[in-house]
Order: sequence, then C-alpha cells, then structure tokens
Amino acid sequence: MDKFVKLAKTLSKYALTNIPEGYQAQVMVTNTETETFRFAKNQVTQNASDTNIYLHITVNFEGKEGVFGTNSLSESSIKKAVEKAVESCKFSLKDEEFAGFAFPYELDLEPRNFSIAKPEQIYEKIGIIFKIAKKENVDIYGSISNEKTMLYIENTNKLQSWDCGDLNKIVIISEVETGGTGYSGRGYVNIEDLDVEPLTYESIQKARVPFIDKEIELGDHKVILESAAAATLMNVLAFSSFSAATYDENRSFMSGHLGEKPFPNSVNITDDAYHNLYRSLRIDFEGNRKSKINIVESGVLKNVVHNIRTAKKMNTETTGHALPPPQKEPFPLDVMMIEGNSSMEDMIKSVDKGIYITRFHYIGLVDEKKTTITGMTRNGTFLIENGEIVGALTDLRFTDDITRILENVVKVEDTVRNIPGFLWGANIAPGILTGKFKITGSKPRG
Amino acid sequence: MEKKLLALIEQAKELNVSYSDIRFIRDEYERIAVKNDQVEEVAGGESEGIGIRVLVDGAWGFYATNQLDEEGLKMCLEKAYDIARNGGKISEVNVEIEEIAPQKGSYSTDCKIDPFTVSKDKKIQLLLECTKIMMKVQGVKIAKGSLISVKENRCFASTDGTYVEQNIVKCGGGIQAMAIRGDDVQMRSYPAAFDGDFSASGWEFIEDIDLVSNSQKTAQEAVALLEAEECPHDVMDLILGSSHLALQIHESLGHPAELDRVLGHEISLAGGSFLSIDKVDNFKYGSVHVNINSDPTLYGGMGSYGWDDEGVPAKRAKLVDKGMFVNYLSSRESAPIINKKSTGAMRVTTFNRPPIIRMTNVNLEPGDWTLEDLIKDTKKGIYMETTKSWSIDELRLNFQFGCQIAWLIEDGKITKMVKNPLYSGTTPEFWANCDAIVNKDRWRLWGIMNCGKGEPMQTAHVGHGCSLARFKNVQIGVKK
Ligand SMILES: [Zn+2]
Repeated sequence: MDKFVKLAKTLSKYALTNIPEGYQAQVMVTNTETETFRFAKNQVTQNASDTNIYLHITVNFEGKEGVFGTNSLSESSIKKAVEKAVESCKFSLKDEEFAGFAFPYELDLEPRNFSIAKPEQIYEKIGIIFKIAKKENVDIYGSISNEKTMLYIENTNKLQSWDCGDLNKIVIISEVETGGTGYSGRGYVNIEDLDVEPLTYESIQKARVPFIDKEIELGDHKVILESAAAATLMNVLAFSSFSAATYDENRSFMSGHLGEKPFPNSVNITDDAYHNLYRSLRIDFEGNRKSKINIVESGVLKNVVHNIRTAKKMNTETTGHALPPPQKEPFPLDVMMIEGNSSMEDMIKSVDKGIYITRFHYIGLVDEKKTTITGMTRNGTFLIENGEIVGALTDLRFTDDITRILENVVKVEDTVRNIPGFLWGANIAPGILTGKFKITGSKPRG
Repeated sequence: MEKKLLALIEQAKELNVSYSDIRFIRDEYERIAVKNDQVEEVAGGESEGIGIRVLVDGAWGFYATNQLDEEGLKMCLEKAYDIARNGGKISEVNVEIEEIAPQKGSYSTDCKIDPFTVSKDKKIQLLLECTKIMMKVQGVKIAKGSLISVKENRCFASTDGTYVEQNIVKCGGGIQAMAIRGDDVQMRSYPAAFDGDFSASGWEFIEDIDLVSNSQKTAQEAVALLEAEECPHDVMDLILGSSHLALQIHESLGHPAELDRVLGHEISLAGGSFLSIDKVDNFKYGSVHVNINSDPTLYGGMGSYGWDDEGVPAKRAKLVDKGMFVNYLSSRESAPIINKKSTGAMRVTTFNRPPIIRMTNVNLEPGDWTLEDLIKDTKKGIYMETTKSWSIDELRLNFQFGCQIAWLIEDGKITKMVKNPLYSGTTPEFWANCDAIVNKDRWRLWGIMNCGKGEPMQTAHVGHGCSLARFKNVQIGVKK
C-alpha cells in the first residue's frame, strides 16, 4: 500500500500542477488487481488475472465539469489527460448543483496490508471441490474470483485520502443426474479461512433433494428466502431506492416517506462498509470517510445515502457514498440486512405450506418506484409442507414488489451471510420468511 | 507494436507453450449526456495494455497489464505461464484448439466523419436542442440525451504466425422523455431503449438517426401513455417492433447459441442453454420463416471485425435455417467438440480480459410482408415497441419482456395505445409461432453497447439486424 500511495502522490502531482488557475480538480488513482478462476465439470475452463493502474481527473470551473481518465501514466500523458478534461469543461454548461470537492480531514483508518491470493492457493481450493465432485459423483460448476482495489484521492482543497479493500467471492453449483441443481456462494475475506468443503456439500445436498411432481398455484405463497435470495433484494434496492438521488427525484419508494413504518420491526437494513464479513473500501470516490447508515430501522424508513452533491441540495451532510466520476448519484455499495432471532430450522418448521427459495435468476426491475421485480427462482426451490421440505420444485417465475415482500416478513434468520451479487458487489443478508410472495408462472415437471 | 508483440511471442515459444496469443488494445471513448437543460456529463477516457494467453500442457493461463515497458511485459508473460502451469496440475481435460492458417493484414471501419473530430460543443448543442423540444411538451418531467463515441486500436499476434491490426470507430446515441404523474412513470426512448442505437461508422450515423426531428414525437408519446389504458391480460397475436425484436433475438437465440454456455462454462453465473449439443442439425427452433445468421462482416455492425480475438477471420455463419437450428457461436477450443469449425466468435472487450464466446451481429433475415399488410392481416393483436424490462430463465427458455408502448390491433386496424405492455412465452414455442416477418425495407441493423457476460464481466458491443415480426397466440400481460 505504501508503494502505491507514493506512486499515486507522484501521479497526482503531475496532474494537479497542470490545472489552470481558478479551476477546482480531483485526481483519483486506482490500482486494481483481479483474478478469476472458473470451473465446470472438473475442468478449470477459464481464468483471467490482471493488474491495472488508472488515473481519473475531474476538473471544474465555475460549475462546469470535465472528466478524463487514462492508464498511460507518463508525465506527458497525464498532462494531456488534464488538457482533455479542461477542454471538456469548457464545453459543459454550468451545473448549478455542483457542490465542490471534499475537504481535508484526519484520516484515522487502521492501515491494511494484504495481498491478493496466489494462483496455487486458489487451485488448491478448486482441487478440493473437484475431489468431492468425483467422490459424490456430481457435476460441479463455479468460480473463485478476487479483486483488490487500492484507491487514492487528492484534490485542489488539499485533501489526500486513501484506502484499500477487496471483494472475494466463491460460487458453487452442483448438478445431479435427476437434473436437480444446488447453489452455495459466499463473499469471503481471507482465502486461508475459506473452507470450501462445507460449501460444496451445501450445494450437493440441495441438488439431491428429489423432485416432487406438484403444480404450484399462481398467486401468493408463504415463502422462505434463503440469504442468497434475500441478498439479491438488497442488491436491487440499493440501485432502485436507497440513494438520495432516487429519493429526491421521486423515483424511490422511500421518496417523501422517511419516518414512516411500512415494515415490521424485524426488518433492519443498513449500509455498513465496516462489517466484519466485508473488507470494503472505507472511503468513497470523493475521498470522504464512509459512514454506517441505518436505512431501515425496526421497520421505519430512516435514511438514504448521500454524496457531496445530494447533501448540499438536500441541506445535509454527505454520508460518504459517492461513486467514481462522472457518476453523480450516490450509491450504497455495502447494503446489508441485519439478522433476526429465528433459526432456519424454526422458520421451516413454522410453515404449514410454502416454498423455500435458494436464489433468483435474472431479476428484471419492472417498476423502479414500486420496486416491482420479476425473475425466476434457481438452484434449489423446494416445497414445504407441515414444517418440512418435502421435495424440489422446478424453477418458478415470480413478479412482486420488494416492498410488499418486506411488509409481510414474519421471521428473520439469526445468521447473516455475505453473498456475491448477481451484477455488482456483494450483500450481507439473513434468510427471511415472508407471508406473501407472488408466483406468476410455474410448470409441472416433465 | 508489431515488433514488441512478435518478440513476446518468441519468448512464449521458448517457454514451450503449445499455443499463445497476445493482444495490445488501446481504446478511447467519449460520452456526452444532457438532462433537461443541463449538461450532465462530458467525459472521456482512454486505456491501453496488453493481454497474454498461453496454453501449457492443456491448461490456459491469462494475465494482463498496463505496464508496457520490458519489465512489465516479462512479468505479464511469466504470470500467465505460472497460472497455466499450476492449473494443469488439477485439470483432467487437455485443451486442444482448432488449427488455422496464419493471418496477416489490417482492418478498418468505413467511417466518413471521425466522431472525435466533431466538437463537443456541437454534440452538446444537438442534445440540448432535443431536450428543449421534449421539455416543451406539457407533462414531460425529465428529458435526456446522450452521445457516445469509441475508437479501438487492436494489434494481435499468435504462435500460429498471425499478426493483424484493426482500427475500429463506433458511435451512436439516443434521447428519452419521462412523464410522471403520481406513481405512474412513463418513458419513451428514441431510436431504442437504454442509450439509443449504435453503429461502427462515423458521425454520419448520428446525423442519419436525426434525434432532433424525433424529439417531439418521443415526448408526446411519453405523455400520452399517462392517459392510456393498461395493457390487457389476454392471449393474442403480437407484432414486435424492430428495436425490441433485436433484444428478443439477443436473449432467446443469441445467448443460448453461445457454445461455451451450452458446454456449461457459464452455468454458475449466467446459466446454461436449452440448445444442448444434441440439438444441432436436429431441432426445430422456429417456424420455416425464421432464418438467423451470425455475420461480423456487415457494414456498420457493432459486432463487425476483420478477425476475432483468436485470429479467426470474420465470416457469415447460419445459425437457424428455415427454422432448423444448425450451428452455435463458437471458438477454436469449442467448435471441434461438435465437429465444426470456429464461427469466429471469440471476442475481448478490453486488454485486460480474456477472449470468450460472444455474439457478433446476430440477425433475423427479412421476410416478404409489408408492415401495413401485416397489420391489416391481424384480427386481434397488439403491436409493441421499445424494450422496457426483460427477464429470462437460465436455460433461456421461459421469458417475460416489457415494452415502453403498445397499440391494440382490432380487425386489421390499430385502435388504441396501451401502457405497461408485457408478454411472456417459451422460446421454441414462441419462435414456432412466428408466422410473418416484414420485408427488407424495414430491416435495420441495431447496435447494442451493453451485452454483459462472463466473469469478470465483459460488456460487449453486438449487433442485431431485423425488421418486424408477428407471433401468434402470445400470452399478453400476466396470465390470469
Ligand atoms: Zn447480452
């Protein structure tokens, strides 16, 4: 990290010395290292690793903005990049909502020092999965992917801010001869602590649940959403509803409703970059410290997340949720649903007739404001009768409002898991039992 | 760059690799966006770097870096080699790839006006003119417009003895009007949803799509949708407009025909495919009217190129022939598995990603109907335009799409506009019920900028050519 900060300071200096008089500017330097190993049927089918250092310059002259990014890092290339950003800025119209860049503050983060996993460490984990697949005679598909980001922000207000974080994920899908499939997936912090054996068996166990030939009636059902499915709801809400920009533009279900209590007490949602299941960046892309934000507290709509721009507009403080420029809307990257006090066993036992859903596939956001989503269930959808899982169902289509699903939450699991997001990041969530979940399509098996 | 890449290829050969390819990619982009009377974004960027792929003892290794000095290139090759060598220890499958003849040459986009030479000011004024027209329409709350330009320089060398260079220019854009009343949010986009339409050609493309002249109608339709009745829930004939039909092709034929998906390589992320290997030359995908090809040689195609990213020259390939499924989109590794030759569909989006099987330009060939006759011939139907939402299962079999706008057709006439139209179906059934395709006068090659696939995610540019088509007996709205 020290080596990176030293380099980033030099690159920032190249950029900032070329900023014309009277301009405000922010330099963002990122060094990302990524590695992805994908496997299918005991073969590593694809791998991709890289390292890339990128410099992003944002300039602003009296409210007119210009942005340019480059990974050509010579002094002359950076000078050219600054010129391009300045040129862009001349053509921009004045943006009345520009609220300036961040100001210096004491950066009191505990320093981090960690390396991305070595290929042999990852192959060792995959080797264990392959052995189990062979022994248990199942086909296993999946991936291990790690991404380490070092971030440095400097601006003309003399702010210097940096941090590093990572996002490490494993996904395992088992498939058995009957066509049954099962999923297990986790976001993890250290590869040394990643125990792939129980995860592999978790997916195999699901795949082996025998199919039951029962048609599911369309309409509302009692449903248990496993952590993975619940985390996906958080993934969508982060996008559709939790930012001050969607709030302010009346695009969020929360718009105008802060302080109201649409959900039961057991629904608690925060954005928490400091949770020990994450190793997220603790600063945002304006260089500000991320705050832990309670979005929904005991069912009450409490807060949305801000960057400098939305904070000024709505007369409050930034919460440290800016995205990289040129994106102007804040975004909660570390949304999580907090655990409740029911065990999964008790939750299943409490259901006379219902459906257990492991995860979703291809969520389509039909109506952002109403949080209406549609999609299919996937890799472990089971029928629950008299408090027991009695068989596997074929995948079901559903269409429902996330808010309605949460309004009807009956129980929340006492354990949270970090789950890789389908499109971005990862979200922590427990399993939930909801009294209403609308199935809109089903097919009997065969 | 040629010297550098060929020297690296020699170093790779010294490591005793069975195959290696190396690509240098430099790309540049510019995005200009306005919202109402504000410039929302004037952004640009460039990136360059090198990606090395090696095949050692039947296992792949890939590493990429933006560090282009000697030390960086050496490190990059060593890391790729190290990954492959370690991977070979646990893999039980020995990868072999189709041999191809060495390729030499260069390829450039046919571009009259380089979009990067058009001033930012001119681009901004064009978009602001559009949003001004749209905001004047009473009821419009948000008006947006954006233009994107892209330039790619790609050099590729492989141990086959190939060295090729490609210079590609792309641009496009679109506008959007949003009308809001209470909880009812209605949107219209032109010429297509999301960021609009794109082409591998110059600024002349943006002049052709004429955003300004289409602003008024776009805004008026968004407002009219607030007043429109809800789309009925019923079974009827569905006519799909061209820009949305492009997405229907993309999701229900393009993705399931990717051979890596079929082989299970995507199961853990995007899913598998209902087009299992036994179905090639042996499965009725659609009606006899349905002919679909992959064609990376088309002028202006966002999926057009001279060579794919493992050196296979661009060529047209039939995927569906008179309704029969005849081929997949494939690569040098996957094609031999089905005893075919690669269709040249291995593509990378940026230097730091490995090639994976992608769509090229995947096109539905035109039929012989005029749109007017098709409407006249429809007793009870609905005509939908412009994608709003989509959802499809992991095998690409069951889907539900939403469009921005629709019109009911009763006794051969368009009668009224309806809002929030949805339809759902099962892929082979849906395409088997395709009974009419509009002729080449309405055929258009659409460009899509945002096809996401792979891990790490690669957002590819692909093309889809199509006119309009009719599908019989489709579930419209939600099944009651
Ligand atoms: Zn796609």
